[in-house]
Parts: sequence; C-alpha cells; structure tokens
Amino acid sequence: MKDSKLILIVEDSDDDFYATLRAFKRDGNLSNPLQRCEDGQEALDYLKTPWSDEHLKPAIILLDLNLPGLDGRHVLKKIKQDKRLCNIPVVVLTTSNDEKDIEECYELGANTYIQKPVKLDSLFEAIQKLKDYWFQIAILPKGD
Amino acid sequence: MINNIGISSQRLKIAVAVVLSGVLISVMVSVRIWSLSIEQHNSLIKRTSIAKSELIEHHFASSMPAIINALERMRNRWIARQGPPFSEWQLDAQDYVNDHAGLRAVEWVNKDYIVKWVVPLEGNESAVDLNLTFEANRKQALDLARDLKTYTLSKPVQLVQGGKGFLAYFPIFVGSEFEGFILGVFDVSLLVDSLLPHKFIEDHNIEILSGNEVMYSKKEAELTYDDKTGHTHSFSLYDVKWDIAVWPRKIKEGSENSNIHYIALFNGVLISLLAGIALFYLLKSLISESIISAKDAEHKATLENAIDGIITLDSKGVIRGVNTTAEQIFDRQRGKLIGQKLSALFAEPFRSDYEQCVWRKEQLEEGCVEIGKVQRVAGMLKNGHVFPLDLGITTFEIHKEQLFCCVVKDVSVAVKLAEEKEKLIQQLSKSNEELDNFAYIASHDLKEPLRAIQNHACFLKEDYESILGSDGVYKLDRLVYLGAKMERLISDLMYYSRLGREEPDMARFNMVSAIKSTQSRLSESLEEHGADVTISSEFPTVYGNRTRIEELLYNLIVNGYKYNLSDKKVINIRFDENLKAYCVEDNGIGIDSQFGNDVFKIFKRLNSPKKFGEGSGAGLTIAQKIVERHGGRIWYESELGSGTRFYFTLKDDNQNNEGQ
Repeated sequence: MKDSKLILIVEDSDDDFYATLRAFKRDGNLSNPLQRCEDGQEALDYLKTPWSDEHLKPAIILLDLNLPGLDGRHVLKKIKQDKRLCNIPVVVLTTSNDEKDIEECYELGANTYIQKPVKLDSLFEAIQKLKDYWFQIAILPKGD
Repeated sequence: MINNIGISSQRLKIAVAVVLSGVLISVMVSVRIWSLSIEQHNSLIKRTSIAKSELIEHHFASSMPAIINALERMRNRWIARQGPPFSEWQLDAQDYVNDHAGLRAVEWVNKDYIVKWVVPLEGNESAVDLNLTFEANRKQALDLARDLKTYTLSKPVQLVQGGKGFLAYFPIFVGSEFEGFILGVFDVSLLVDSLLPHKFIEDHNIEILSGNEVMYSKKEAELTYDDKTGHTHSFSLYDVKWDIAVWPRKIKEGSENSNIHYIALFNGVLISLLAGIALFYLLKSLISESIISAKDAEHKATLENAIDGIITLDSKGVIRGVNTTAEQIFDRQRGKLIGQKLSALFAEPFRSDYEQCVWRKEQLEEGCVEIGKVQRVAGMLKNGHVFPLDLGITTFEIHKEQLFCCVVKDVSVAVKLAEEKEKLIQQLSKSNEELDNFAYIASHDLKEPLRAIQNHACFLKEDYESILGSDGVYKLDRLVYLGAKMERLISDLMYYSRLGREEPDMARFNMVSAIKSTQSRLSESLEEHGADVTISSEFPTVYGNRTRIEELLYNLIVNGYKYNLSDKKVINIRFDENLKAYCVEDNGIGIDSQFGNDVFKIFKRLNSPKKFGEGSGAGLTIAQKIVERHGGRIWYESELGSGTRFYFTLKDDNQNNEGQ
C-alpha cells in the first residue's frame, strides 16, 4: 500500500533540496510522497488549498528558515495559528544555529529544530534519524 | 571677599597706627610746647628777677655814693666851719635824711665814740649817747676811719634803732685836731623800700644778703628760692659784698600762670585726641569707600566679562541693566535694551508667556518662570532670527524693591552640535548594525553555496567513483576538505560577529563548576591528548554569561594542550590574588615574544597545521572578544619551551551591591 504520508519540504535552494532528497532516498525505499515548495508564499498557497487525493495534507513539514520573500518564521507562525494546519508537525531544518532563531521557532510552535549538518554524512544520518523518528516511532495525528 | 576683608582690616590697622602715632606726636608736641612755654615763662620771670635785682643794685650803686659824697661834703663843711653850731648842722643833716631815703639817720659821734647829735631824733632815740665801742665791729671801723683819716664803711650790723644796715664813718680832723665822726646810718630796708616802687615789691620776694647776714627780707609767701625763676645778683660796693636775690612769689605764679599751662596742655591733648578720632573715622570711611569702590569695580569687571549674558530687571520685568555679552547675544546696544520688557527679546510662544508674567517672586514660582532653574527659551534678534536660549532667573531685593537677575546663554552652537552629535551617533550605530548584519548575512549566505559545492563533490564521488579513479577521488576529497575548512572559517567569523552584536545575559555563577563543565565537554579530547586540567586556587564568584565564559575556558584549555609537546600535558587554572586575574597556565611550547598581541588577531596562526593540527586561528580572538564583552582584559606571559600563562579579568559591576 502506498504510504500516503506526504512530506512537504519548503526549501529555496535546489542544492539543499537535492541533498535532502538524496538523503531521504538513501536507503532506497522512500515510500512517502514528497512535495517541494520553493518559497514561503508557495508553501502557504499549498497549505491553503483544500485537501484531496491529488492534494494531500502533509504529514510533516520540513521548513527552511531563510526563504526568499516570506521567510520560514512567517510560514511557521501562519501554520501554527491556523486551526486546520496547527496539528501538522513542523521540523525546522536550517543552517542557522542562532539561539534567537531556535528560541523563536519553538515559541512559534516548531516541533523540532535541526541545524543542517555541514557534512553530507551527517546530513544523511540526520535525515535518516528524522525519517525513523517521525514515521516509525512517533504517532502522528490522523489526516482528515 | 576674603581678600577684601584682609585688605580692609590691614588698612584699618594701618589707619589706627597712623592715628595713634599722630595723636602721640601731637600730645608730645603739646607737652613740649607746654614745657617750653613754662620754660619760656620761667625765663621771662627770671629775666624780670634779673632786671629787678639789677635795678636794686643800680639803686644801691647810685644811692650810696651820692649819700657818701653828701656826707663827705658835710664833713668838709664841718672842717671849714671848724665845728658848726648844732642848729646849722641839724638843718643840714635833716636835708640829707629827707633827700636820701636809705639814710636812716645822720649822727655826730665825738672823739670818745659817743653819739652826741642825732638827726632825726624821732625813731633814733636809742642812739643818743650811745657809746659805739659797745661792739667790736663798730669800734674797729671807727678806729680804722680815724687812723686812716678817711671815711670807712662798717660791715653790716644790727642797727640799734632796729633793722639792719651799715654805718659810714667820716672822721673829722680840724687841722690835726680830731673832733669825732660824721656818721651815716644806712638802713637797708629803708633804702630798698624807698628805691623800689610799691608794685615791684609786691610782685617779688627780695632777700638781700651781705656775706651770710640777711640784710633785708621781704617775703610774702613761703617760697623757696628757685634759680629757674629767681636771680641772685652779686656785687661789691665799697668793699662790701652784696647778694640780692629776687624771685617771684609762689601764689601769684600759681594763680596766674600755672593753670594756664595746664589748661593749654589739657586743651592740646584733648584737641589731639579729638583730631585723632576724627582722622580715624575719616580714614576708616575713606578706606571702606576705596574698598567698596574696588569691589564695585571688581563686580563690574566680573559682570562685564562674564561669558553669559546678564540682564537685571526691575520689579515690573523691565530691563534696567545688561552686560556686554547680553548686548552681543541680542545684537543690540545697551541703550536700546534698557527700558524694554524682557519679553521683547523672546520669540513666540515665550514672548507671550513672559508678556503675561507678573513679576513677583511668589507668582513667578507658580507661573511661567521658575526662579533659580535654567530653562530653554527662544531668543529673537531684530531681523527675526530665532535662536535657542538658556535662561536662569534669580531674584534679590535692594531697598525693599524686588529685582531680578537673568543669566542668558546663546546655546545655538551647543544645540547644533548636540543635534549633529545625535545624528552622527545614529549614523554610527546604524552603520555598526549594518556591519554586524553584513558579517552575519554574508557569512550565512556564503555557507550555502559552499555546502552545496561540498555536497555535489560528495555526490560526484558516490555516483562516479569508478570512472574518476583514485586521482579523481583524491581531488574530490580535497575539495570537500577545503570546503569544510572554509566553512569553519565562516562559522568562526559568524560567531565572532555575533559576540559583538549580542548583549549576553549576565548572572552570577561558580567558576569551578564552569571549569568542570568545560572539562567534561572536552573529556574525550583531553584523554586523546593525554592532558589534565587542574585547579589550584579558590575563585571569586563570577558575574557574566556562563556560556561565553565556558567558551573562553574552552578556547584557552584547547590551546593549552594543542600546542603542547610535554608527555604529561597539564593545564592549570587559578585565580591570581595579586593581579586579581584568572590564570590559565599550561606546560606547552610557549609563545615567542616577537608575536606580542598578534596571537589575538583573527585567523592568525603561529604554527604549522601539520605539526599541531587544524584550527581556524580564531580561538584567541574569540577569547579576547568574550573578555572584552565582560569589561575585562586578557594578556599572557610565556617562556618558549616551558609554557604560557593566559590571564584575564572580568569586571564585576555588582560586587559592591550584592557583596558576595
């Protein structure tokens, strides 16, 4: 059965997206559908659209903070303020390790904050653990 | 003021001294004049005394020869007549006695020395039939006269008629026949009394002596003879020595003269004292006037040269005086300012405010003006130029009139400068902020493509390893390695820039626990390098950001074992009580003194990475930044080959308040 747990990746950098995608596909069996939004506005537009089989509600959102236009903090805030969206876990995945950013994101309701590891190996490891945790260990709310 | 008081009292002292010496001199002069006057008076009296004594002598000297000549003529007539009858002789003698006052009597003494005839008889009865031999003095004179056949004067004798006098004997020889003597009885008292005018006698005491015998004495009061006022005239007449002492009578001297001198003296002293007092007050007022005028001049100069404008107002708020600076501030002559209302110098809204002011102290305090407080108002020139003006008003009273003193200061320049400063500060802080943001953003943005380059290198290696061969793989590895190195540099730069931007949360914490926690963070690395961290003192409580302080310790500890070739690497941490500084000391390779403070320069590396491993060269720069952000200072002491001691201080600004 096709796993319908959609992973929404908000990432402006093609290179980072490629690296993340590669990390997800590293063990060769990524069954989850993946959706990429390249900026904050696109992400919000996607999330505003009513869910359907063709337009799945994300089971998890991987959010970059530094985005062109509306930045990740803004997107996070909107998601967590929206009753329809607030139960979707948001994993902030960013290069920033600024304490202010970390604090702010958790205050806004981020479920996890991960600094993008500098080394590719570490990224692979991090993504693998993320995948294991959110899709194997954690129990997510049911999609509507 | 102090100076003035000093001058005033000094001048007063001088004045007092001048006046006192003036009075003293004046009194001395008075006394001198008094004594001179007395002396002069005395000498005047003495001169009178001399004159009188000389007059007496003159009388003596003129009367006696006349009498003696007369008596001699009588004797000669006797001889010529060969004994005249008594009646004739009596008339002759009577004439003599009448004419010559000093002549008490004329007598004829027979050859037996017995007085036979006496003219006048009255008052001389005792002489009749007197045998003159009864007394040696007389007899001797008689004998002498008879023997020498010439007239002889007796020594002064007590006259038988009373009184004192002397006798003149004229021996009568008719042929060789001795017929006795013509005898003249001189009474000194009679002589003197008749010769001297009555007034003359009254004025003076007179004493006439012949030898030691007092021949005449006329003293109305018991005044001893004084040579200052009296005079003794000595002369010799017919071999008889005479002393005539004349001196003024005491009572007269006292009543007439003495008091006058004392009154003069008293007056002199009194006038001196009064003049002295008057002079003193005159000097005093002159001195105080000169001091007051000096003070006035001083105050005037102070006011005129004050760098602030000074305006005095009357009780209605009308200008009654200004200084030069006020003229300059309002660009108007003194004459144009005086008489105007203060409000006329201000721009709106201050002009209306001050126009409505009631210039009374109580109201001012409640109203628009606060006495004694500087406020910012706007001044206005004639040409309408408005400028900021600081105004302070104080109030004072002169002769029950409430006056006001305004101190004004044109603060245009200061205001302009302050505005410019504010603008510059804003620009500077904006530029600093931009710089911080730039460093942060730039380094952040640099990281992304860098990471992508690394990632793609990895992907290339993964996907095409077999095609690339070992040389290609090595180059890709090298690319990844260099990318990682650059990443580290950028991270350090970011971190360094963040240290400058952030205001770390400060708290008190225990240094030992911070060391322990850093130590445990480094435990693996320490073990790997065979290094030990020791603590060798107690520490004061630290006030700072614990995370940053641990960062600082981390950097210093890492440096301590990284650049260390000892078998047993030891990093010791202690607090140096003398330097009041924390010390992290190691037994490493040391730092060549030629590097000085270069060790704190960012990305400055002193050693080859091959020898001591990789590092960005930012560790000590970051350490220095952390210390500086804590208000402290970092420095080191080192000996090449034996180790380095890094010292740092931390400002404990709450120490006094909390007393920990």
